[in-house]
Amino acid sequence: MANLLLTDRLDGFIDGILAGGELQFADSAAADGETCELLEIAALMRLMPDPKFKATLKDDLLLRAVAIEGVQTNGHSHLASVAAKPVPRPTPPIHILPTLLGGGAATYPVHRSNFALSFVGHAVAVALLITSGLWMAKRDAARNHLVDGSVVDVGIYVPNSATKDLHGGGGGGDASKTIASNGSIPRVSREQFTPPVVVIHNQNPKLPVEPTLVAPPVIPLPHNNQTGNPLSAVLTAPSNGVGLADGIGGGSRGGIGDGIGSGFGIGIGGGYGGSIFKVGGGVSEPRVIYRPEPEYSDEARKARVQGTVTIAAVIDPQGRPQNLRVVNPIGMGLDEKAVEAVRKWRFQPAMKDLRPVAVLVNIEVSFRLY
Amino acid sequence: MRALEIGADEKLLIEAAQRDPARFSELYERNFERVYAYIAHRVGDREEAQDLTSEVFHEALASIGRFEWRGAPFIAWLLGIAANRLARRWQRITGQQEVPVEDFDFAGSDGQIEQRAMLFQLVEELPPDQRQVIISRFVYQRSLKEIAQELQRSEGAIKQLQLRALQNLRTQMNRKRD
Repeated sequence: MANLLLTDRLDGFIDGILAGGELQFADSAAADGETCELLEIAALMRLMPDPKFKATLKDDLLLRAVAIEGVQTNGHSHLASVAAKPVPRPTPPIHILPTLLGGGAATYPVHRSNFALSFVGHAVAVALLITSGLWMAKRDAARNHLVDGSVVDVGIYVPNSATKDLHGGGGGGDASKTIASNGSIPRVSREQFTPPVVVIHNQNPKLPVEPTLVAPPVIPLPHNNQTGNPLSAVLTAPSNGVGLADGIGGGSRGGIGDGIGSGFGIGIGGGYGGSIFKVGGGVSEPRVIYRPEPEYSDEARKARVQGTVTIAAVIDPQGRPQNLRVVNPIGMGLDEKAVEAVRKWRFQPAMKDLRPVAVLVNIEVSFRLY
Repeated sequence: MRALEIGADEKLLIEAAQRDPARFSELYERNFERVYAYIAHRVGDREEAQDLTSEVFHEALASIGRFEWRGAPFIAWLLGIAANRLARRWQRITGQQEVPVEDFDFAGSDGQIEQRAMLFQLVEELPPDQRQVIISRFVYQRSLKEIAQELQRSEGAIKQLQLRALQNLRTQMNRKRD
């Protein structure tokens, strides 16, 4: 009965609170202690927020947050302006497949399986990287010794007009009783106006011209003040030799030696005969048949130096490289390694008229790190 | 010690919201009732209090990136925003540029605001039927008869539910105060 009275009185006071505010019930003398406590609570409840408002505001804020996140992701900084504007609701693009555009992704639950899959994927990728790195390192070490050695004629330019004479030679003499005396050959030239002589018969020529030989200037030969045949053993009595038609030696036609022509040595028509040929003009290229590979020097490997060493060499008729000379060095010990290796190489010799001849070639030895 | 833990927890929530604005909803849930109670106490009108509360949280979300943690509770920052909104409202209504400072005291200085905020939270913990009666009665301001018709129960039963709900709230309030 008392409880019934309390509920009735309480409801009456609540009506008053809701209708007129907090002060109207406070003056009532009818309220007992418990009723006053409950009415105090009821008075505080008067402005209670609508639960729907709270939920709606939360949704609004979430949508706004997603919009802000999208703006941040796109690299703009209009966060404040975006958030300050009222939200048009509902926002269709967010409700329809929100993750399609990346929106709202953070609101979805996190699945551990995704982390596991991601971890496995990354582990496989890292393992592949390590494996490929090790494989490349081994391959690199193996290829350090793979050196490309090739015989390439990149040497001295020889005009086409002279190619037919490269295998030639020359000779001369003035029908002396003694063979030609020893001496050095004069300056070589493309044309000859005066043949070289040891014994000069005309001491006062009307037009003095320097005697020359017709040959390409490729081979430096020992030179002294006395002109003569370098191959002659006669050192004392000067003689132009037993040959004919000017020049020195046993040949003819203004050269030095036993050939015919204005060149030097055995052969016909100028140039150097009977000695060292160049590839071309009937002289085949020597071919490598044994090629031990040069080693990479330690300092070059450490410095990661790569390049090509060019070596000038004479491949003799036996196929052995002679007179090796570095013409294009790259340093770091690689030049010495290249010479050391090429010295061991063996060639099928160059051929001329079906017989082996010595040729001057340039050999390129390439050092590469892969 | 407990306060320190709460502060650290709140700092983490703020940092999370600064990185991911969607996490702002957790700060919202924590602080909604106190902000609303503060504003409702000042304006004395539900609709207006709700509008101002909405503005405060939208502004807070927009400015969360600029918030710097200096040890003060997050609610102080929110109530600062609310005070500014109330000041603007005051200027709009009265046309005065100066606002009486004493009219905008912050949380903690007014026990009634704290009690309101606590009550609003406790309503959510009531049994569903009691909660429904309280909301219908105080939010939608329906009579007991209207509520009884809506719930298809007797008016007496609704009176009892209303009484038990208020008694529950009083008990929970006293327990929280202790």
